[in-house]
Amino acid sequence: MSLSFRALARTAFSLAPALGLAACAHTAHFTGTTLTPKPAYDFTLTDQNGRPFRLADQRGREVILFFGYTHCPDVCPATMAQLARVDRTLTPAQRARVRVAFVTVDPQRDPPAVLKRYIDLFDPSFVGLTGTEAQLDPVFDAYHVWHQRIPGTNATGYLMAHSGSVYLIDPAGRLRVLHDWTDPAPAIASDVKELLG
Amino acid sequence: MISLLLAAVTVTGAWSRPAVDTAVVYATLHDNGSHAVALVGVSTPIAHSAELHESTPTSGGSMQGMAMPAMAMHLVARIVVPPHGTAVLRPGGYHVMLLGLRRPLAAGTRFPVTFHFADGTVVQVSVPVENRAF
Repeated sequence: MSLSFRALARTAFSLAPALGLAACAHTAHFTGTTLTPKPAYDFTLTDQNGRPFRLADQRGREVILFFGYTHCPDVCPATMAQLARVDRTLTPAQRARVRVAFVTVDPQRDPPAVLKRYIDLFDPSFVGLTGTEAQLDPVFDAYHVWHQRIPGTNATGYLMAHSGSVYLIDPAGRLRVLHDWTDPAPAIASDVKELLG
Repeated sequence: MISLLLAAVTVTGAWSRPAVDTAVVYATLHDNGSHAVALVGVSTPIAHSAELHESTPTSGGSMQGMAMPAMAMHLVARIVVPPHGTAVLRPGGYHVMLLGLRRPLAAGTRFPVTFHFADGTVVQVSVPVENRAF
């Protein structure tokens, strides 16, 4: 009995690399757009409480990034409500390992105090980030965040056209998956959980 | 109820999200008659102004060769409802943008909105504030 067990163990051991490969192929299955894993561009911005937030300090946690602006009535709050839904599907232990971060593309109108009131509408545990243009521009470049000011009315001032991507950064700090802002919450949640391992 | 059933234009399923300064209103507009009608304005006592907007997909660049979605928004003068048809105001499409809220909108509350149509029809709706994405 013990012999056959050892034989079995040997067989399993010799198969391990192949099985490992299969396991990797399985874990890399996402509902969103799968990216070639690369270190996510590190940045330090200011959060809604006026404190510095550095991406590299989040190592060990998954970070969900979204870029928008608080004067946006449609796409941004829909996405933020969606991410709040995603967050609610997580267990408390999982939630402790996930940070949802909203980065403004409109720093002129989104100082920390404005971001705080906005973030609190969705989930006070979310992070709202702003900075100077010199701090934000390299972040927009690194994450390919297309954004453009478009003329509005006297009431709106101006509007922003902007990317609607949701970025999933794994606990090792690698950018792994992109989601569209219209993707269903369960699809995003499934990838968020997959990346938590 | 009878007047609602006979009305040429009705508004159903209106909703909004919690907001501090800028808010949204979505709804479905029904034209129950045989001539097209058009929504030309919205008013509400809870905001400084209200505008009709449309969000449209636009090209937003790419990452690792993968196209990235982006959205733009623009003001529209009117939202046409076809005869015996509907026009839907929904996330990522037509919507009412409320600017300069006089008070924050909290989930579970309601506020009054008046929809103004080109033919002079006025429809008043009590809009619920809901914690939902779509």
